[in-house]
Amino acid sequence: MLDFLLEPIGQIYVQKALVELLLIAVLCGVVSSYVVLRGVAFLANALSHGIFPGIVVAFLLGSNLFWGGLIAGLVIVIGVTLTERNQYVSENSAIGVLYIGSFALGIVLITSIKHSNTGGLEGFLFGQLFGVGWGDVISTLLVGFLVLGLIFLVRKELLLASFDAQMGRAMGLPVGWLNLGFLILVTLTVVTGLPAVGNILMIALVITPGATARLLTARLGPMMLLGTLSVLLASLGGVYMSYYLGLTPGACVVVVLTGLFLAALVYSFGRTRALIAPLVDEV
Amino acid sequence: MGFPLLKIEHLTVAYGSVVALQNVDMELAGHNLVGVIGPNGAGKSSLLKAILAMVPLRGKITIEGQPISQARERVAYVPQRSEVRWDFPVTVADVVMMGRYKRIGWVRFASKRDHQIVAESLEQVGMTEFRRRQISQLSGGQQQRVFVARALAQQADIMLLDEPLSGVDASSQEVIVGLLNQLRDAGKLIIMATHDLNAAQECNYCCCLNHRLVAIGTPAQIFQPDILAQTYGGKVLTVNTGSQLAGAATTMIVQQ
Repeated sequence: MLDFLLEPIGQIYVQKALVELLLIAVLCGVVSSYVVLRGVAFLANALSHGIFPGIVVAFLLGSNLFWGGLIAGLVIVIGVTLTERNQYVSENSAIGVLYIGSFALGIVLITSIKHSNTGGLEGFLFGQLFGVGWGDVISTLLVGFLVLGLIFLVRKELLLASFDAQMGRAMGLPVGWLNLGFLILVTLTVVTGLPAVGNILMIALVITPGATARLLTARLGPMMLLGTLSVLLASLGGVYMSYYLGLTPGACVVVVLTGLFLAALVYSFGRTRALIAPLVDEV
Repeated sequence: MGFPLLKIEHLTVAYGSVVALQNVDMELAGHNLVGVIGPNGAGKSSLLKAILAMVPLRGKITIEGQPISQARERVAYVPQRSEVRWDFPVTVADVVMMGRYKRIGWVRFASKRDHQIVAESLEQVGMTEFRRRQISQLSGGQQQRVFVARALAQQADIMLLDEPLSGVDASSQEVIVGLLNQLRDAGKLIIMATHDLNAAQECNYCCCLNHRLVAIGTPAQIFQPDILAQTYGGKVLTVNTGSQLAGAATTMIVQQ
């Protein structure tokens, strides 16, 4: 049994993957809490798809995929913000149109160069968790410090703008810039997870931890902590599952993470019923 | 002296081609509790938001001669209940502390004095025992009291409240109206948009809006059938139950 648990951890590539996932867990525990509370899950989903053409272009130019994804993410975020200013385009329509258009552009770009080797690109859609290098880990560490540091600096203002935007405006806070700034931090988070889990699976990591934690607690601090914890659990479970069954590791992590969400959902239903049942009996 | 506390000149608010308010002028001093009444969509919220420059507007609004950009911390605002995410995981004390954010400033932490002001504000609305509760666990009336406490924590000279009494139980209504009267007596200018004509009658000034300023004056001057008919744009039946307020009916039935 001990061997069963220790064997994967002895592998250097598993160690790198777990360290990377640990950093992503802390980052996503915080970011996903805000994504869920601000109700921008659909936009986070759109962002992750929308950065695809940026990755393709960066791949074609042989430059860093991180920067390609980041630039495309900024274009999407600013594009959605500007488009929804037209009173005949709702935010949901703006997001829907721009992200799927952007994703399609990425596919067009890929198929136009089909003859060349696009093996690396598939890796960036779904990641190569067991191929993560120390360079990726360090880049995640730096991005994590940047994103969490900025969120810490504007914690009060971000809280007010998320809870009661009208009050924020009334107090003279730059609510629009805070919203835009937050989306840029989400973009950074998604892009930094590209080597490990890819842009599609990264969607789960910026939404699911917060959604799971919200089912278990009604306080912001514990919510971030529980979100982080759920990613850590899913990482361990997913990595072992992948190691012994020979499955794609990033996808295994997301499957376990989704399982944790469903378990929290069942627990939450059970708790609500337990609270309501005595009231029903009294009636 | 010289400048009135709040001066509004030629105010027009328009959202695209929809005009919410046209050419409104008024001057208001401290020591006043002003009720803003009018039908739905008459521009009550727009007037309050215009004072804070939160809507597209033309005209000039000054606070003791200064534009809002230089006097923002002198104005507190209680938004309409529907504009807040009530399921957000924050405690009562967290919400009241938000009133201090502007004074605390970016990056910095709340000081002892900020915590003390929050405690005092909660005391004033009778919500001290609820300070650690989640905001989602309170009744509508209690939530509104917390929002009034947040405005108190801003320590402003002018307080703007958008429908503070809608969806509020009788005891909370009593606390809120009592507190607003106290604040008026302490020299503040309170402007409250309301649907509740009974509450408006307890103000010492009333302001009737219907896309324009129909009338402004004491309740006795305002609660006249012809003025209410102009404000609500229909036939107004007044049923005088023969009570204290001379010249003013205590019950109004407004028909479109």
